[in-house]
Amino acid sequence: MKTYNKTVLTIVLIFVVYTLIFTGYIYYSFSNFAFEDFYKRLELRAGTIATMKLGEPAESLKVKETYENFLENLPNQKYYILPVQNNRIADKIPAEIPFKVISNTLKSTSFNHNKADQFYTGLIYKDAQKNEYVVVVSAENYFYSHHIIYLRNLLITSLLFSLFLIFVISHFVLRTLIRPVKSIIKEVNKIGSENLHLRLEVSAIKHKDPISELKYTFNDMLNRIETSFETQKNFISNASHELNTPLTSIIGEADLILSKERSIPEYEKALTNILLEAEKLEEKTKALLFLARTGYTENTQRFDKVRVDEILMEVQQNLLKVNKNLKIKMDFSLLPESPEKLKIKGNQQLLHLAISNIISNACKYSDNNEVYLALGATEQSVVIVVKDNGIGIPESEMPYIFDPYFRASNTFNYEGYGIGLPLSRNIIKMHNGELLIKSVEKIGTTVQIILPTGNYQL
Amino acid sequence: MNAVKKVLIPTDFNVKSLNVLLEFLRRNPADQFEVTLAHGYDMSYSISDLLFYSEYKLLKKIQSEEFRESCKLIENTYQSRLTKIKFGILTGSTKRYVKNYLEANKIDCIVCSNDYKMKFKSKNSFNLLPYLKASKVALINIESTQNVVSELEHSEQLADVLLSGIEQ
Repeated sequence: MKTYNKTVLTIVLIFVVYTLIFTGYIYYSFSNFAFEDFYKRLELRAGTIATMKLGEPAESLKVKETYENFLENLPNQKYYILPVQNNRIADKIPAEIPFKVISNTLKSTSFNHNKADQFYTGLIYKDAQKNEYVVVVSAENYFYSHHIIYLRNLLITSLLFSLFLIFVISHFVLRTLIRPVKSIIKEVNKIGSENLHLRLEVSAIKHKDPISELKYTFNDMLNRIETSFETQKNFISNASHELNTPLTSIIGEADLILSKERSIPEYEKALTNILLEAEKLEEKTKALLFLARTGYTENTQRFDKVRVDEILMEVQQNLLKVNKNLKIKMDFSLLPESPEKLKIKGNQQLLHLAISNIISNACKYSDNNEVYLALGATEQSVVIVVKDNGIGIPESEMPYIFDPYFRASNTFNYEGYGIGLPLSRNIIKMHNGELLIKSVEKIGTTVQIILPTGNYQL
Repeated sequence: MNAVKKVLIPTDFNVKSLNVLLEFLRRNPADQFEVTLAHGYDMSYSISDLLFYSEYKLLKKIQSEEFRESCKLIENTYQSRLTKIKFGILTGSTKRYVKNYLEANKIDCIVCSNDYKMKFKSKNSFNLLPYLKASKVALINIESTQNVVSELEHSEQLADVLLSGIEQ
């Protein structure tokens, strides 16, 4: 939990720095205010006292009245009037006045200074006879000596208190934030390669907060992993089985024929059998190789302008050449009027292979019953529909139909390797198309091939 | 060239309902048409719904992607004979409203199929046919276009339209 502590510390640190700056600023500006305000009051008093003591009698009387009526004495207030001669103090300077105050006042006509709680203001006064005096007023700054200390103590205690509060709050907030993550970790730890079907618990309503989104993302990832895991498992077992069957019969045949001396026709027969099995094996490995190639190398194929209706006609003719009993019904009633809509960007051979795979599947699994074929073009794509009234695909097996070597449970009467459909899908994917399959068991299957139009202009 | 005929077809916005249009176009190979696919939809009386009513949004809600694609497909197929496929939403369920709508849009004839069972996605939708029958506009009935697709009832796929031409 090192990151946890780190986060708590970072949050606390940020808050402490923030509050320190804040309280420091308050303290500084307040004491500054206390100084400035007090000096102003002292200056006012120095001015009035000087006028009172040294000014014209009429004026001094007026000022004295105001002073006594409206200005109360500050705590520890004292004043000194010192005559100046030749820029020097004529009399002896009283010991309680710091020398600095006198000398600086002489230099700059007015000066403020403080020594602990005692504040001094000196100013130069010229009376009617042009005599110069230095008037110094001193008093104790009660606000500074008492209130500011109180303020300081208050700020420090509140700082300490907020520190404690921040620590506790950040701890709690983090704990509540981390709890769902911890529960996710706990749940995820339960999922291993032997129980990949487990999922994280999610609420039925899809929330938008990051934690539940994380859960959904995780579940999605698990779905993908599970499917590829299953595919992998199925593929290996099926592939080895498929390759093994012809090999076993080859070995068996050879073993049998070599067990004793035989006549030439017998050898010939055995060798023909072996050749047949070997050819089957070769066919399978070839298909496998093709599947691998279409699955991984997308950029090696050259794409040209291809007309889908031409491919369909070719496929139909080729299939009829192989088997005359096939009934393929074409519906071109919905062909678009402009042939440009039927041109797509693709590879003729590959598309031919994919479509003929799908159509021959349709023929095969409907026992050479009628297979319907239709073609149309929408705004963005060309749609080919292949429909048969065959055995269909059980609903529970629909997710696996694109897995190599997978064969539906109701296909044991039909020959096949389970390579055709994944191969077709790979090819259609290469063309940025879509392959949609809808099927009801024992009723039939509808396959939709959607290929994007090439947008060729006339 | 003949004048473009304006045709109204009541629909539930299912791909299958387009078969009526297809069948009609096949039977009248010489004429040009402007087609309005009309859908009855009861408006809610909530003031905010009425205020923010948008036909585009409503259509998007009650039409499927497949349906729009299918319409495009038909438009492509009969490019020279279909000047336009429009969607109309009729929000009133009175005879007078429907009559006014037909008059305002200068509809020449109504094409429908008595056998087709409307299947609505939204419970606010209603069948326009009784109101249309009450109007004085010519009504053309296309008999059941039973075909191969009927086994997979309303599969909501383009296949519904694509395979309609077979077995006729």
